[in-house]
Amino acid sequence: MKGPAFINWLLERFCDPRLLEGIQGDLEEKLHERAAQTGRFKAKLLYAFQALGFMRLKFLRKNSKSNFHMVNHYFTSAVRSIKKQRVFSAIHIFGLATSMTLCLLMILFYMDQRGMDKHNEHYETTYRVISTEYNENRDRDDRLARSPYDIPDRLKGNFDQIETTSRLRNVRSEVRLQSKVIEFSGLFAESNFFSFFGFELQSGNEPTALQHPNSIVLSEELASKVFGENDPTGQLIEIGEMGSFQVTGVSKELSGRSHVQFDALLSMTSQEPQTTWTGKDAYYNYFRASQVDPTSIEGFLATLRPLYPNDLQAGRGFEVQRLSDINFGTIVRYEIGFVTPNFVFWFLAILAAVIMLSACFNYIGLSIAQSLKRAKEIGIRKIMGAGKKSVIFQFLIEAQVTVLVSWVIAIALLMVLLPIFNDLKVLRDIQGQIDISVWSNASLLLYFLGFAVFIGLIAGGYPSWYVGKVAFQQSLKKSGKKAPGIVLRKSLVLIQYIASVVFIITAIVVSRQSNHFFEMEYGFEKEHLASIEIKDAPYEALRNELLKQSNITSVSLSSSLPALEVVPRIEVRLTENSEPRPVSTFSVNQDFLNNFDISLTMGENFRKGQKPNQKVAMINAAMAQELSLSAAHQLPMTLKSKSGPIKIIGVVEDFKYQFLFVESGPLLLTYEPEKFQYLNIKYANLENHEAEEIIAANWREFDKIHPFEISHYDYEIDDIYAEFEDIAKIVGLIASLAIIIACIGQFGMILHHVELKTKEVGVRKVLGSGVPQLVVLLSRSFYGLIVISLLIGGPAAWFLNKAWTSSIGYAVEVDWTIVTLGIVMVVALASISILWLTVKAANTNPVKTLRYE
Amino acid sequence: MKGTNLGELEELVMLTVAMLFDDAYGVAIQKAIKEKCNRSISISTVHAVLYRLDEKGYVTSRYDGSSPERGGRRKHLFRVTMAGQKVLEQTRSMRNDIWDAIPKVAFE
Repeated sequence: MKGPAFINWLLERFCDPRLLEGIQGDLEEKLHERAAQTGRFKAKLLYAFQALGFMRLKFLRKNSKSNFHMVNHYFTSAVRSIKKQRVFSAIHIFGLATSMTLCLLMILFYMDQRGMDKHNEHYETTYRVISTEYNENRDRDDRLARSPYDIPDRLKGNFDQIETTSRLRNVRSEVRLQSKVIEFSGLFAESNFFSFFGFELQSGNEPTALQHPNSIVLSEELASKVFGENDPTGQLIEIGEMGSFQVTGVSKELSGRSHVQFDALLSMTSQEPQTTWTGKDAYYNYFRASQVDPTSIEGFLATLRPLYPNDLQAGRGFEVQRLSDINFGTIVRYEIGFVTPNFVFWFLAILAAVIMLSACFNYIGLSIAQSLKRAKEIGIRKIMGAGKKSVIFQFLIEAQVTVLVSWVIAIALLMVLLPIFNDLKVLRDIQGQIDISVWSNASLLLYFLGFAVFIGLIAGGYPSWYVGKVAFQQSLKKSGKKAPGIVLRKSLVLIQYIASVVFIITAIVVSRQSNHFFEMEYGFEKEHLASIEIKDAPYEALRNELLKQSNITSVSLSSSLPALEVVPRIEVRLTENSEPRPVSTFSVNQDFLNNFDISLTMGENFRKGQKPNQKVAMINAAMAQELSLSAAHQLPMTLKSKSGPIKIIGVVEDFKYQFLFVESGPLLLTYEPEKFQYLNIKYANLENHEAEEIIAANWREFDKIHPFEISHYDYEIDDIYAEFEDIAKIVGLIASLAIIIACIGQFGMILHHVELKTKEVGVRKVLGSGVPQLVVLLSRSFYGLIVISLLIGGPAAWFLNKAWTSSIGYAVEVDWTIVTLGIVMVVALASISILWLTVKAANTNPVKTLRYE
Repeated sequence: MKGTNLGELEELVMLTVAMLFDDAYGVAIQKAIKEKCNRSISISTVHAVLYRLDEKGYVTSRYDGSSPERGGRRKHLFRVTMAGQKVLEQTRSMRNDIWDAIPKVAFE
């Protein structure tokens, strides 16, 4: 048994040969001893650590001590040359620092999210059963986090390898204690919750806390909201409609993240098992098994499909998901809390990487170009006996120094940006804020430093190799007019331009999309309209009371709020023999159409005093088209659904009934009073706040417990789409960063190009060339590059944006105007630096440039 | 010659070298110190101290006696020199003098 070869190689390189035998012997002796105690792997790891202990000056080879001075010298000369080329160094450092900031932010985000559920000691062996269903277009499966209640029992009965199972069920309710009412979102959980998911109690007894019916465990936050400083354990509180619960404990806040997020845990025994599982209150089923093949479980679950005929249509099924696949996995709907889907992560990572590479390209391109200027220095170094290696080393160190300076600036920038970033509405809504302290986390700092060194190698690798290989005769020759590495440099610039074109067009599309949402025709009137959530209030009485107010014109009831939520779907057969297809449903009363100013085009509205449970419905124009319903005499017509026939009595014009990311397609407007959740109030001649006071006063008479909450439609709609505006801003910022970096890179290239041609320009001017001709001469090759990049980047951007907008219900059209606008912007931005520098060069007095000839 | 004062760790290592007499090499010294003083010192520290003592002339070293666990490598064995013995004795007598000079009341 031997230590790792690499470590031995290091030791042999580093240590004084007179001491080496003793050192290696001792290390290996210890290795053998350790291997017997702790196993080979750990012993080898320890060997490496101990070997690193020998990397001190004491043991260094005597002859290589002089190398130390050499390294010192490299640093000095690196600092000197960075200082000497101020403009170019500034270009490098600016580009590297800004792009590194972005990458560090990504690393932070990743490190923060990666830890999700890692606190669970059974992280590797815990699985969740999820269900799948067709998406709207029936072309692929959607994955849903929920599954039926009885799955765990069936699994346990069939697989001995399953060690334990646990269930969760969503619950949204409110805590009442004396006059306090606080809403919370919680989970029904089984008694093994704490050991299963790796949570701990701050107070209370873990095994029994969730055993008995009507037990509740509060989160620290909720406990302090309800009880303040007092000890909540043992207290009785009222929970929504479910009666009084005893507080059996307070859960400790996790130091990391978990996909299981809750304000309170209620004992599973407090609820009746539900046989349906597709509604809002879904079950989440987990099992733990260390020696089981997930595919065999999936095979067994497939055989269970016939047991759920009502909720599980043909073609739908179950899957088994590892706990470790929940975060950064494929997207799953109805997740308990927020997790980051893999595509979001990859999108952000690729953005950051493209910008980082762009900055590295600048460095590579400019250093090679600059190496020509430094040819004399390199030539003399080589004549004085510097080998290829030491020249390479010198240039690498120069790159590292530049990168490290940028790294320090990047970290400072990060400190400034982090709070701003965390304050973004999008991140607050998805709880994606980064809450890692950078300084207290040693491994994080190591990652950061490793990242900087890695970037230094990428940026400095090729230029230093290039410089190293040039022979000194060549570098000292005066004729070094041809700039080296021209093909490589041009292709780097080309790639940067292509990325800029793609970014800028994407940014335009995203911001157009966000405007599109704001300016969308909703098909209903959103001004002077407010909604309140009906809780326990007798809504009929409240409605009548409100209507007595002179300024309130109408009041209606609905199951959801148009344009703000995604509505549920049911399956109906359009004709006798056709396949059932999903259709959105929306439950309203007879006042809804008038209230929202939606007109009835055919047939009739619900009647006042309509009998509930009678299956009548109105449809929208899109649905009428599907049914090829064109004349009023075809009404009423009957549709088949799972729960019986539905009589269609009227057709209304199309309106945006759901969240605009999803298309508002065919719709059934039903009358199901048990589903009513919102009271929508239309008012006239009132400011929003005046209306609010009037409504609040009336509300108080009927509901003395709940806090009064009202949402004004116009605000609410602006607010929800403002999130998209945030995203547009982020993409815009990144796009401009990419373009700025590309532009300054290009600036450097032109500067160099013009410098090389100074004399040529002088001679041409003397011989009678005009300024326009010279500008064309100098800028020709750059415009060539831009044209090529537009030819590649334009179509690429078009396809890319087509692809993502196609998944949005109401997408902005990606047409040639957007692509043209993007192209014009890129050309204009690039032209600023090209024209500025070339015109300046063309205008220089030839007397100056040719003075010494 | 660096300063003649012995560091605490240097003294400890040197005493251990003397104790082990003809079998004083890195691992053995580390183990002996662990047993006698219950102190964990990394192997590289032991070596560093030994070479420092070597530079000061308090120990001499030779290579001898290989074993299969060491991959056939010989042990780097140390032995205390006359100078080393002298400095150890000096340190000891210096301490003893001070001990003797402590008035009885001090430790009551």
